Amino acid sequence: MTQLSNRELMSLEENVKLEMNMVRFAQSCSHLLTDPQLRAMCQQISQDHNQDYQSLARYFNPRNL
Amino acid sequence: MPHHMNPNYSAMSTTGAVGTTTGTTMTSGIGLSDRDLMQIMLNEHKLMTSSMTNCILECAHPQLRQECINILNKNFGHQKMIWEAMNQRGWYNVQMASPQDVQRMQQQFSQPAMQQQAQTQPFGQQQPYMAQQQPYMQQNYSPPSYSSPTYTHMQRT
Repeated sequence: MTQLSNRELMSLEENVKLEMNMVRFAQSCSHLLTDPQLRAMCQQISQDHNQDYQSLARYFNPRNL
Repeated sequence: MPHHMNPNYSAMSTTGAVGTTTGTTMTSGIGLSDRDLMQIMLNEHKLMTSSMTNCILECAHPQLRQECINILNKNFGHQKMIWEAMNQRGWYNVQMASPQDVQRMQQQFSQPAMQQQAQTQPFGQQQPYMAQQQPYMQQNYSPPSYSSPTYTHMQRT
């Protein structure tokens, strides 16, 4: 398993935080929006970003890869 | 702290900057309309694609790099989906370039790049690229007299 560089670690941290925030925000939108189509879209986006969050977070612990 | 780093998004409703009622859309309980929320979603995806691109450019780890490319492509898909939803509802209109502006560009870039360089100065004696492209960076620069284009699709009505 290749070790992460300093730059990769910093960039990974930033992107994992962005993914985490987007999961929460899209989830909030799915409750706050009044348009049912938009609500469903945000629900799907939240789920997708949750997957991305988990995919990226695995790299902090290479044994999980 | 920039709002994208703040997980407490509900705090944005207290700023008043985006919590406007348009009259054409319903507002949520925190004073943000559907349009406001979708605009934030779009902006956040633009930020995320930019950050993910930087991550890919810095990646030496092949598996992580491929993972980030896959995520970036998904983000592009989300951005398109959000934009189309906004565009369909008239919340993000696109203003097309005028034929005059397009024609001006055609005239300016009608020749191959190498020939354009040869017409100015030999390689090595040219002005720095930034100085060529951004005259406002030079001293005593006065803006051109023609009116700059207005990007009305970026403005809220």
